[in-house]
Amino acid sequence: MAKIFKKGAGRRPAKWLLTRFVDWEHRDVIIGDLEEGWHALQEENGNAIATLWYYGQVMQSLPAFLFSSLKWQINMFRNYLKISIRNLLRDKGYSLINISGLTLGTACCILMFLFVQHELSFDRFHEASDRIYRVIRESGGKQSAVTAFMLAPTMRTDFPDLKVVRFRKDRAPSLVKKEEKKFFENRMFWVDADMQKVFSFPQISGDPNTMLQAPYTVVLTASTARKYFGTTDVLGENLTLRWNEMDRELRVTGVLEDVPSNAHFQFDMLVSFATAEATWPKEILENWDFAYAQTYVLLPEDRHPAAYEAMFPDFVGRHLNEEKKEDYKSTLASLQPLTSIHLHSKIGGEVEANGEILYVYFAAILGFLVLLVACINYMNLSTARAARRAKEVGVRKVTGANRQQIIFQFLSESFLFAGIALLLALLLTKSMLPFFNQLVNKKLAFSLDGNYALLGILVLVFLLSGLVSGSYPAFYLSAFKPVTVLKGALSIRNSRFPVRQLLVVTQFTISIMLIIGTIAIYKQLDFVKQKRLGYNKEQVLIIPQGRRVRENPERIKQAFLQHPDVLEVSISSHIPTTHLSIEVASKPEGGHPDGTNDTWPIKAVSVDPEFFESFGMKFSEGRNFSKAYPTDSLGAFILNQAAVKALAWEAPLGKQFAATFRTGSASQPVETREGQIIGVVEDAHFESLHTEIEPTVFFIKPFWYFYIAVKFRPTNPEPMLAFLEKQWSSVVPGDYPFEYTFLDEHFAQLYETEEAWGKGLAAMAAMAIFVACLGLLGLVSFLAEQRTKEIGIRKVLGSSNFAIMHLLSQEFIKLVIVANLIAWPLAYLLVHRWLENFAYRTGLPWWVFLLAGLLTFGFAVFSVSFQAVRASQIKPADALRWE
Amino acid sequence: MLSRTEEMIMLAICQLKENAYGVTIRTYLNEVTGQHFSVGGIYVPLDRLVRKGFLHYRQGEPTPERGGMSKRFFELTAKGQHALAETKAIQDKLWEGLSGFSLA
Repeated sequence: MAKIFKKGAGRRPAKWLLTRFVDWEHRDVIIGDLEEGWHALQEENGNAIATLWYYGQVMQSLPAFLFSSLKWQINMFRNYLKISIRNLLRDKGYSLINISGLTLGTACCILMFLFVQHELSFDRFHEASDRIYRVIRESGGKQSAVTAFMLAPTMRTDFPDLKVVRFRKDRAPSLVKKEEKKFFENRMFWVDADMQKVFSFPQISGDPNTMLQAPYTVVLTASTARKYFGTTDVLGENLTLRWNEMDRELRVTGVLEDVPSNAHFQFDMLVSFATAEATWPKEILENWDFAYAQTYVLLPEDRHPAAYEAMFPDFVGRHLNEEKKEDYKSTLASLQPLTSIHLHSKIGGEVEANGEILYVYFAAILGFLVLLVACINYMNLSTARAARRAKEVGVRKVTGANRQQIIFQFLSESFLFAGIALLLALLLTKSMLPFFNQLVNKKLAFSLDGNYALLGILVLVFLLSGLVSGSYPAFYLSAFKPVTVLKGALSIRNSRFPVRQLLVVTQFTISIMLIIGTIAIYKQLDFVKQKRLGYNKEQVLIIPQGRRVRENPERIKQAFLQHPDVLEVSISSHIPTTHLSIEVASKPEGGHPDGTNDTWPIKAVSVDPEFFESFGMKFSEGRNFSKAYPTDSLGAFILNQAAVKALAWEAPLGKQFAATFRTGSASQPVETREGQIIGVVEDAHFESLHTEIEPTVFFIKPFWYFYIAVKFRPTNPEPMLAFLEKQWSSVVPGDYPFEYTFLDEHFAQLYETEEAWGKGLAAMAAMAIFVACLGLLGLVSFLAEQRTKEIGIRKVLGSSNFAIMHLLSQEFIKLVIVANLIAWPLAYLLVHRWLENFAYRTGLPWWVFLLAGLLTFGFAVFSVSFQAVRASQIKPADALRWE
Repeated sequence: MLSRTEEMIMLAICQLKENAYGVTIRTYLNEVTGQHFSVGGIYVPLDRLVRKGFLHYRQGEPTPERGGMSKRFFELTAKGQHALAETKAIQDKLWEGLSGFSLA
C-alpha cells in the first residue's frame, strides 16, 4: 500500500525531538517501535488518532530519557574525574608546575582585584553616596574645590530642599590639649551641623543630628578620643583648643569611628562651625572673597544636579555685585559627584591627593596577564604530553565516545586544576595579604562574606582559567584519529607547532614587558632622588609652627643658633616639598608677558634672609635679602629663573615689580607692595617632579610665616634636638609642644605612590617570569624525555654533551629572543605614556631594554639548561635499551 | 536486586521467548498489569539492564512499517537469569508463612 511508504511528515517534529535529546544506541530502534505502533493504530483508527498517540508517547517518554541521560553523564563525569586525579598524581612534576603556576596567577588576580575594589569603593559607604555632590568653582578655565564660607548658608536659604555642609581645614595645625596631653592636630576640620545628614560616617556615640549644632562643641574619632582620654567613652568631656592665640573650651558631643581608609579625605577632629561663627571675625565669615572651605550638598531623591547647576548663574547674580561676579573666587560652575572625586578629580583645592583611574585599569589588566601566563603553561604542557593521553583517547573513541565527550573530559580536567589552584590561591592570598599591604603601602582587606563582587570575580577567574587553559588541549587531543593513535604512529616531535611557539613567545613577551615596566619605575624614582633639585634636602629639620614666632622671629632664631650643630635657621611661608598655595597678582615692569594690561599671576613665597642659605639654593644674579638694607622687608623682590624666563627679561636686576594680594589678616585685607628685583635665584623644585617649576617671587612678609627650618651639621641630631626643645619651651609663649619632621621624609612622601607601584609591579613581574620559566622547564624536560632515544643515538655517533644541550635549548632560546623583539617597542610606548605624568622625566636608554632582555634570557637559559644538562648526561646504553 | 519494573520486563522477555522486542514487551505488560507503559518507561530500564549485563540483544531486519528501522530482540544472559532467580528467592522469603491475600 502506497500509503505506508508516504513519509510521515506530521511525525517529523516528534522524531526530531527524539534525535535531539536521546543519544543512545537504542534511538533508532525506539523510533522503529514508534513507527510500528503508529502504523498499527493508523490501520484501525486513522491518521489523526495515530499521530496523536505518537506525540503522546514521545512527550511521555522524554523526561524519562532526559533523566536517564543525565544520570549516565554524571557517571561519566565521575570517571573523568577519577582519570584526571590519577593522571595528576602520576605526573607529579608536571601537575606541580601546572598547579603552582595557576595558583600564583589566580593569587595575583585576587590581589589586583582587591586593590581595584578598594579604589572603586571610595566614599560609597555613605548611605546617600549617589546623591552627594561637591560644589566646584571655575574661573579662567581652572576648577577649584574651595569655595567661600558664605556659600553654604546662602545656598541653604535659596535652595531649601538641599542639605549643605561646609568642611574647612586650617592651613596650619592648631594646638589641642587636655591637661598635660597636648598635640598639634593636623586633621582638624570645622564643619556644619548638618554633617551627618549629608554624610554617614560610622558613629559610636552622640546624637548625629545635634552634636555639631551648638558652639564650642567638638566631635572626635575613636583614636583621637583614646589619645586624649584613654577611652572612647568621652561624651561631655572637655578639650581646650587654642585658635588665634586664644584658648577655648570645647565640649565633646560625639565620637565617630576612625574614618575608613576609602574616604577621599581623613579627619581626626570636627569642630562645630557654630564655634567659628562665635569666634571668627565677621569680615572673614561674610566675605565672598574669602574662599577657604569645601562645600558639599545632598540632593533630594529624584533630582538631577543639572537642575541646580542651571540655577547657579541666577544665584550668583543675586548675591554678588557686578564686579565680584567676574572674580574667580565667586563663580560657581558645577556639582561634582562625591563618588567620582577619588579617581577622577584633578582640580585645585583638593583636601588630599587623589588616586587615578588609570591605575585601576592597569591593576586589573596586570592581574589577568599573570594568570594568562599560567594558563599558557597549562596549554603547552598538556599538548606536549599529548602522546601520553593519546592511547586513552583512541580507546575512548573506539568504544563509542564522540568528540564532544572527549572535549568535555579534558575541559573538566582543566577545571579540576583550576579549582585546586583557586582554593590554594585563596589560602595564599589570605596569608600573604599583610605582607603585600606593607609592600605597597595600602590597607586592603580580604573578606569573603557579603563581598559579592569578590565572589563573582573568583567564579569568573575560575571559569576563565579553566576554559582558557583547557580549550586548546581539549580540541587538540580530541582530534586524534583512533587508528593512527592505536597504531602508535603518533609522533609529536617532527610536526611544526607554531601554536606552541606562539604561546611561549606570548608568555615571555608579557614577562619582559613587566620587567621593563618595573625597571622604568625604579629608574624614574632614582632620577627623582638624584636630580638636582635646586635645594639640599639633607639635614634639615622642619617645625610647622612658624605662626607662633612671627611676631618676633629673630628671638627663636638666635635661641636655636646657640647650639654648635645648628648651621642656619630660617622661617618662611612654604618650604620645598610643600604645595605652592599662594598666588599673587603682580605688575612687572613692562606689563604682562603676553602684552596685555592684566595683572600677572605668580606664585609667592614669604621668606627671610636665611632662607636660601638654609636650603642650599644658589643665586644666579644679584643679592639676597639682607638686614643691612632695611627697605628689603618692604619693597624688595627675588625671582626665580623660571619667572625671569617667562617675563623674557634679559637684565632683571633693578626692574620694577609690584604685587597685590589678600593678606588673610582681618585688619588689612589687601596689600600692595611695590619695589625692585634685587636678585634671581636658580630654579628649585618646590613641588614634586610631576609638575613644572613655576615662576615664583620671594619677599619678606612675617605674617605669612608658617614653617621654621633648621639646617644642622651631619652628625647625630639627638643632643641638638634636646637643646632645641628646651629653647622652644622657654622662648615660645603659650605652652606649645615641640613637634618636628625632617625634610627628606617630606620628600619621600611625595613619591609614595610611585614607590608602592614600583614594588607591586616588581612582585608581579617576578611572579610572571617565575611561572613562565616553570613552564619552560616543564616543556624542555618533557621534550627531552621524548627524545631520549635520539639523544642516545647522537651520543653513540660521537656528539658531545654540550652539543646535545645546544640542540635541546636552541629552539627555546630563539623564542625568547623573538619575545624580546616584540616586547621592546610595546613596552616603550606604554612606559613613555606613563612618564608623561612627570614634568621631569628620566630617559629610556637602550640598556633598559637590553637589561630586561638579558634578565629573561638568563632565567630562560637557566631553566632550560637545568633539564638539558640532565638529559645530555644520559648514557647511550640506558637510552637505547627499550625498544 | 532488581527493581519491580526491571523484574517485570525481564519476566516478560522470558515469556515472549524469541519475539521479545520493544513493542511486544510493552503490549504484553499492558495486558498483564493493565498499566500503560510509555516507550521511555520501557527503554530506560531496558538500557540499564543491558548496561548491567543482564540482557543482550540481536538486531532484526528493517521493515517498512518501522519507517525503515530495524528491531532489537532481547534475551536474558546467564547473569540476568541469575539476577532473576535471586530476586525470586528474596520474594519467596518475604512471602514465607504468609497466607495469600485474596482479591475479594
